[in-house]
Amino acid sequence: MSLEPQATVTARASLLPLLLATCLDGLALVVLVSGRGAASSWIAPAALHLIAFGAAGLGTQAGRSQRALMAALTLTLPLLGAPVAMVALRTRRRGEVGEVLAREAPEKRSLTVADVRRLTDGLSASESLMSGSPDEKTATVGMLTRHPDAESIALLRRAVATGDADVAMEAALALEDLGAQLEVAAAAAHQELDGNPGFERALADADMLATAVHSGLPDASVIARLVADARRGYERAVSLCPRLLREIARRRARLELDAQGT
Amino acid sequence: MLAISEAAAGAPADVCLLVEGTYPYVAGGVSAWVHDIIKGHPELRFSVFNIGSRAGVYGPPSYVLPDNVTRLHQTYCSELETTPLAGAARARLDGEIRAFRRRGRSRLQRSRVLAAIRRLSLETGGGDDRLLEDLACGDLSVGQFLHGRETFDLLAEIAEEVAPQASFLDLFWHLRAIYVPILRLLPAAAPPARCYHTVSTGYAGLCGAVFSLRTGRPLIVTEHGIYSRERNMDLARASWIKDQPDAGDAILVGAKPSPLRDLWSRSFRALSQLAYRRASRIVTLSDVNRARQIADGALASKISIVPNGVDVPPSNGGSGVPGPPAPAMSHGSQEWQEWQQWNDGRALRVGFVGRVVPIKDVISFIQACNLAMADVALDVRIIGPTGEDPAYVCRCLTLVETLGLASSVVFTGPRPAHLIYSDLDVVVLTSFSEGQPLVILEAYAAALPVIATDVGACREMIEGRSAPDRFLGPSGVVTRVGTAGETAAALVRLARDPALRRRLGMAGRKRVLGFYRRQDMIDSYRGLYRDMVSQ
Repeated sequence: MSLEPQATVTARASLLPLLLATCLDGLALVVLVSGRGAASSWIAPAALHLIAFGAAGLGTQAGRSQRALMAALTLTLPLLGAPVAMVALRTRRRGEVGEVLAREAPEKRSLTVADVRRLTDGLSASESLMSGSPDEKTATVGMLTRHPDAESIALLRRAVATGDADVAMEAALALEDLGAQLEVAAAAAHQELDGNPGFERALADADMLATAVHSGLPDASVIARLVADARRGYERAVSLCPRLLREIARRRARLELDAQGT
Repeated sequence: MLAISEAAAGAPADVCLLVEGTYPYVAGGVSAWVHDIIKGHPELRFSVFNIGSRAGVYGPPSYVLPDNVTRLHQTYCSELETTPLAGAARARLDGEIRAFRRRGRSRLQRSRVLAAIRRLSLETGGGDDRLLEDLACGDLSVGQFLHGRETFDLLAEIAEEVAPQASFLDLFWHLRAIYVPILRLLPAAAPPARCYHTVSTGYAGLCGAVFSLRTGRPLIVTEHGIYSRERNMDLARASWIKDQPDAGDAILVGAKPSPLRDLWSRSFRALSQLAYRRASRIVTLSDVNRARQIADGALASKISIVPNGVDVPPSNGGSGVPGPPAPAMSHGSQEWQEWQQWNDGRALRVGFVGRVVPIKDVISFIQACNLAMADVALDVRIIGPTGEDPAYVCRCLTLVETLGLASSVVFTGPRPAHLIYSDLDVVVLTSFSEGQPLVILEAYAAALPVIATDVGACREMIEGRSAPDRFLGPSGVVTRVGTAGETAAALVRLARDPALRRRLGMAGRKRVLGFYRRQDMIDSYRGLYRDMVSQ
């Protein structure tokens, strides 16, 4: 189960089309003023305004609704429409909450040639722990420790339970290190949640604790405390931003399922 | 160099003990062993060569040096922390660096130490006598190493050969961190001694090998834990070594050792191999360690096993006082029945004896007690110093509180050995790493069974090493590291079966009497020293 959230905002639109539209509208104004009211002098500015309208609607990086907004504003408010669209699209905090959710999505790195070679040449992490050379076992334990997700924790626990004495000791030490790090982070989160943090902090703390519960790292004796703090964090986040109730409820549901599973 | 006693400074010591950051400043472990060895050989004169990281790191000595210690040599291998220079000072340093380069160019091309560093970095074969001779000639200063053009060329070669994908800057700092301590130690003058005895490999082992080569006196290597392996474990967990980014999903592919970790690991292994090669005799504590030393390149014929030992007090058998099971009691006797009655209905007194630090995994011990207490009553004492890692102690206390065990789990702090075991029924050891823990031997001396993790020599201490040893039967229960459930199961089993506890405890007492007596250990070293000193 992935905690990867759905991206709720698209990439920010480029302002170039709007700048171009503003310039075209400005040029149209200049042409209009210099034409001194002659009927023929309206043709060129009108053409320029139409081109500006077209340019504003061409933002290839923008979403459909954003392109429609830019074009509509540029068409209906000559000269001013494009700057208004810029302000609308670039307004800070408008998409803050969605951005927080989007930011948390783990960055997916595409495989390099070296990665593919490793995939094809090397043993799987599980095989490496069971039958690799001592150096490979040690390196694999180190790697799993650096990626302490649920699968890694499960593998480390398996190594403790069934690996040879050396790898069991290394895996047990790694779990101890991770446990110590988690306890420090959980204590900090607990303290922050006591202080009624803002939306971002509350959500981050709750997610961190929920991820830890999901990973299976914490001992059963401390799960209840972590789950309670994670619930507090989600409740605080919802109270600060009720419109994200659905997304946060989804995460909370995952937390509750994990808590039941432990 | 710090002279503690100048009484016999002119005459060579019989034995120069080389230690790395332990005796006499750190209490317990290797320090306690060194102190015991010195006190056990009053007829010999010792000097101690202690290699510390940097001045000021250690507090006052934890041990009063016995009268037969003639001198304490103190040297440091880490660089002093300095602030970046600016202005005239920086210009002066630049001038010195240029002068180094001018003076050193012709000499560095022939530097034997630099050639040795090249081999240490690029070769994996374990070296030969020439390698140690090159290092021992000490013809390269730290300044020449850091600023010489030839060093830079060597760095480029190592980067190309060993870590082509690693950051060149990272590689530079790693090589600097690996070799500067060695270059700081190589010029140290050999303390006059009839034989050198290093209590680990690593830097102490290197100095021992170099001193032995320069003076022609024999070298003894004693390893309690296997240095290269312990460093490898540290390296695997070190976050300050940058690895290649792992593929997107870690679970898919096992990892190869990163080149930078490999460079470190290789250097520590090479230091061990240099000491093994130069040593006349290699001593270790257990078969497990012996096998590891052989795997690291030690000659099997040089290795002997001398286990640690303890003084065994007379048993309390026949005293009629309820207490630890006495070996003299026979099944069905009146004492036996009294002892059974005494056991019925009371909580099992469980002791964890050791420092409250992560390597001892006290957390798993507390969790195990919590699990066991669902079935049996336990009276738990955690006996040992709590000052070394306050954050970890805090974690343990929080866990005890969270689990609601505050009334049955007590942190007593350190207590004298003779007051510890008479008050316990079982001793538990949940360590991640051990050599040959004295705690187990002390528990055996008090006829107590032991539950210990399968680390170091614990298994052979509990199940027996040789055939006559194994004949005595197990003297405890071996569990896997980090598995509170197994420890809890063993606790429940022993709590419910006093007769089993007694049987295991008696086997332990017989084991310590037969194979782990302090006097036997001292006698073994006496023979060893006699051979070496007379060479």
